[in-house]
Amino acid sequence: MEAEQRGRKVVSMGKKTIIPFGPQHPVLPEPIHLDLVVEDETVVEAIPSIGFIHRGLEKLVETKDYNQMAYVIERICGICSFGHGWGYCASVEGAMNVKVPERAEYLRTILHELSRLHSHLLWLGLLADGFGFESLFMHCWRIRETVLDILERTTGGRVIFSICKVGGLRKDIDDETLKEIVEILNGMKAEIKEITDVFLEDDSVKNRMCGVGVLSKEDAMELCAVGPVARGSGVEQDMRLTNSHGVYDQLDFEPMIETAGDCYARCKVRIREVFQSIELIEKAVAKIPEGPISVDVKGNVEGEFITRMEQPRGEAFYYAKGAGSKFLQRMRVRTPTNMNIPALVKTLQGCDLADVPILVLTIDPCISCTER
Amino acid sequence: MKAFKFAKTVLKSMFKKPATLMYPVVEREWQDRTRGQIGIEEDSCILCGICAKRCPADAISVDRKDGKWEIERMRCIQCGECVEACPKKCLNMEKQYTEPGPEKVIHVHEIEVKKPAKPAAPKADAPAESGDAAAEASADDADDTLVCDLNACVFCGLCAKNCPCDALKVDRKEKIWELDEDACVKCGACIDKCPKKCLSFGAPAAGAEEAEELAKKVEDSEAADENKAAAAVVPEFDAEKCIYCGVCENQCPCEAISAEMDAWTLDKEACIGCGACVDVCPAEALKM
Amino acid sequence: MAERVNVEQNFVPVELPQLLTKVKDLKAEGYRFGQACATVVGDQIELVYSFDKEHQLLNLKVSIAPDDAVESITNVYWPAFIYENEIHDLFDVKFMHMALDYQGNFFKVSEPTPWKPNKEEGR
Repeated sequence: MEAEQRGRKVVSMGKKTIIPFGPQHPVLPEPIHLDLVVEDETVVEAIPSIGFIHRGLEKLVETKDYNQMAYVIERICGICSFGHGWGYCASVEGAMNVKVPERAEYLRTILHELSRLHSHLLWLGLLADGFGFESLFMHCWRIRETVLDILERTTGGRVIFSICKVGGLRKDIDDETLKEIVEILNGMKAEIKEITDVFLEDDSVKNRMCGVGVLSKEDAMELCAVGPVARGSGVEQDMRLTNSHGVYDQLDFEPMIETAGDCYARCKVRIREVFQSIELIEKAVAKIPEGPISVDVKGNVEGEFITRMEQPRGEAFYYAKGAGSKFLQRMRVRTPTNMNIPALVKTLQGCDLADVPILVLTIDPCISCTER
Repeated sequence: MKAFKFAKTVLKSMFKKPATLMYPVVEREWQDRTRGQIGIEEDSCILCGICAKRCPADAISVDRKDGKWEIERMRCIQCGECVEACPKKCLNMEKQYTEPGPEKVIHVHEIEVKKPAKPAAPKADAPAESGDAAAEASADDADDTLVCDLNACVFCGLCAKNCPCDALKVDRKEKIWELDEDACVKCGACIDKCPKKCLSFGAPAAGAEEAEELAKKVEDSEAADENKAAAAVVPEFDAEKCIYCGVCENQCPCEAISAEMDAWTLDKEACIGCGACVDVCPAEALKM
Repeated sequence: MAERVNVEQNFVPVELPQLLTKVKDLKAEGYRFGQACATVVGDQIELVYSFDKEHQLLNLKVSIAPDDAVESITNVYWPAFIYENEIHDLFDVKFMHMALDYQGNFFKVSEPTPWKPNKEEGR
């Protein structure tokens, strides 16, 4: 059987069937393939297989210099685009020992939180679509449009911003616009509360999520889960607690932790992060200083540097290595979904076949990030 | 038992306007900063090719001889690097996206090939010690190589700062002005920025005698560096006209000016008399 | 809870035979596995393994020749199978005793081991 061909022995009783899940599936935002070994509607084992979106973007460092590479890296994924751009610029700036001005750090933090906001709203919509609640899905995405309009107004693009460069930002956002953004977001809070109440309190939704896909704290630490998957199981892990990026230390930031470990807990973590993002943006706009938004960066890249960024989906590594020319020697992006796939495989063992879409969505798979 | 929590939202949305637009019947309102597509002002383009070099997607190609500026619309990622890089600021980011279509279009713009103005006939018998300028002028195929009239140059370094290709090296103390010919794309940004107007494409008007004088001057000035700085002409400030915009402070290559509100000061020791501040003042409040 | 961790880079070079022992030590100390990546440096391949404990970073750097076989760490940290299979598929680095071995089928690439050094001459 296929499972044995992959070099691993499968031991179980009863009649086994292998159901291929993906790469094309109505609930999947991006193609991932899982071979589900199923025994009478209970999944015994899941074997992941990726590579459908592999574009080999990391190899482009050989032909694009470090300034142009920023555009390539931010196009790894459409949802986590700003995080990638910032992580890349931060690691190249670290390797070149460039200090970015304070205002640029504040603006980057604000844009990152806006990015997190739209990503979580997108995910809530996909989760609703996952259990068939289409109208909730549409409303989540309608609210997300307001955030995308804000992003287009400030950076020029809805999903790909092209605003981060090595040394700072390319365009400034003036204080008036920032205050208007805060007003718009505060106005959205009531609407978001209505929608998220449905996720957290409606019985039909809770039935699909509570108790499904439990990941205990020990398992989460053993399997090195990251992001809301880990925080939903009680592991306190958030890269915004380090001072490697952004100004979170000046914004009184605390990570959102839940202990139940099931889909409901992970959903609750993300919903709480939505509200927390709006608060963080408000605090950042109140404290943002005046000043330049970039420094001139000239010269070649020498040395290596690792930055870790808290993307909406978890911890992402950005490893930049330069060898004295304007082309980087290596640019490695390790995205959170890459690390959550083993956790997914573990939670799938023993679940019902009908729960598989919800479980796959609950780790927030962003496969284009995984495969670059 | 909490059921139908969503009912309120659904009922409300039945009576509200739909959130979607009947596109393409209803036109979309574009935002000011939307990065749609690149537009070019053909009259200002000098075909320097910097936009093509900086483009991360290799969407632009510039043909200097035939006078063509081409862009492959579907390769363009609307990043705006070319807009920032253009020394003549002839590219701009338009708000409207490229029209979708069945084939990948390449838009070709015909640009008039402008030859840089040739100065008066160069002296063919310039002596060997007259520095880099004459050596470059006597090369056969370097008719339009950038040259600097070292006589007039004050080594302020503004040309080097504004060079988009980092082709110039200027050292004020050592009185060095050097050009990396391979990097120079002859865009002319330095010629525009030079406050003494001593840069040009082609041989300078300096003749043999002036060149010898120049060599002597360089020796003299090395010995009397401080004197030269102190004796140089300094800008005169008119407090009535000044609007405290701070552009002179930004432009000064030696950071000799401080333009705070109601307190414009000049550090005479640092000033080298290049006159860049005079040229750039929008209120004409400075005079040498 | 509001302490900010000042993250240091911490690149520690390690010899190939000591790699597995060092990884087991880190596991006993409670480190979480971060990532593993490969870089082509000259005619050698440099592997970097990153670990994290309470937000502090520690990286192990191993330099190997392209034909060396590396001990797999999947028996210590199971999630490492993703990275080892990826490095094997892209760079053709051999890993021994992998817990979950896809034997070259993990990534669907159009030609096998596309980033292997010395593969494309005169690029």
